[in-house]
Amino acid sequence: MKVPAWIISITDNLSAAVGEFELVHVLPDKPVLFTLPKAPSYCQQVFVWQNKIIPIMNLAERFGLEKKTTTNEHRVMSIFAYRAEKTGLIEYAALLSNATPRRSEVSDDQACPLPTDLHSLTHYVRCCFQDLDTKQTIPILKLERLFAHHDRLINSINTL
Amino acid sequence: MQINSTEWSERFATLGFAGLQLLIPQSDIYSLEPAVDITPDTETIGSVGQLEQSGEVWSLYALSADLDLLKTCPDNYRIAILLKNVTPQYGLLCEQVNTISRDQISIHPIPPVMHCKNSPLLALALYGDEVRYISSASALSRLFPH
Repeated sequence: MKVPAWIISITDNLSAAVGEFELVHVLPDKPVLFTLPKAPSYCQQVFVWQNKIIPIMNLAERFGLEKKTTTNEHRVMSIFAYRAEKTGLIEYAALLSNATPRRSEVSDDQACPLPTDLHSLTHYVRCCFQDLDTKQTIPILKLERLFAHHDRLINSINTL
Repeated sequence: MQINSTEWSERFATLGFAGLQLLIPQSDIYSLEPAVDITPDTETIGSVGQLEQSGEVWSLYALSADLDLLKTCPDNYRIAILLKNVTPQYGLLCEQVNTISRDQISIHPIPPVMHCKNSPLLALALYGDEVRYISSASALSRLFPH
């Protein structure tokens, strides 16, 4: 059985995927951004969307991945919905990508292990699959982990 | 998600400096003074001056847009906000001050992924299409090397 997913280009060499209903909106224009003092460097800005304050994460910076030639000015901003681990409530957050997310269909036959060079993503990934078109290994993101409180997450990982 | 809590002050002072709009509960404000009355403070680390008011001395600090301590006070920081409900008491220098009532803003939690252990920010405020930052006299005092 195949299930739909959205594939997001993070760097030249890495894409990630989310479930069909986790992507809720691709912004056509760059919104007005507000920078939070003292926030982590990979997630310093927010914008207003439908009366909600949406944080923006740069995944390449979050995981120390290869720096892309694309500047933030030319990046695509997409809004995702996820159910927060702590509260169970629906939350929204945005990711920067190099291109507009593309829809794909994925089957269990495409499952593969997380490559060792992506070890830093281990706790933020549900599983991986190989894209039939590009042959890239694509991790499926756990958005609820990615946008959780970083220090609290590290503590919970350390107690495992 | 909005925070619908009665714990927030009914009025806030909006301190404007370096492009930042920082909201402080009005109940934390002791007084506003012109910066022309500032005298040098050679004893308090990080302070850019001091001000005497009602027989007490208030160390004054100036902050950047990143909420880092400035070593010298920019010329356009012309207002000293003396704060209370905190020990030791201190003051902040800023460019502009306004007031805003609780019903003019919606208060939102800081997204968990943006939390930082040393941040003095307590919440975010949506004012029209603008995001502003809520702190307090007590929370801001973490920034200062008392």
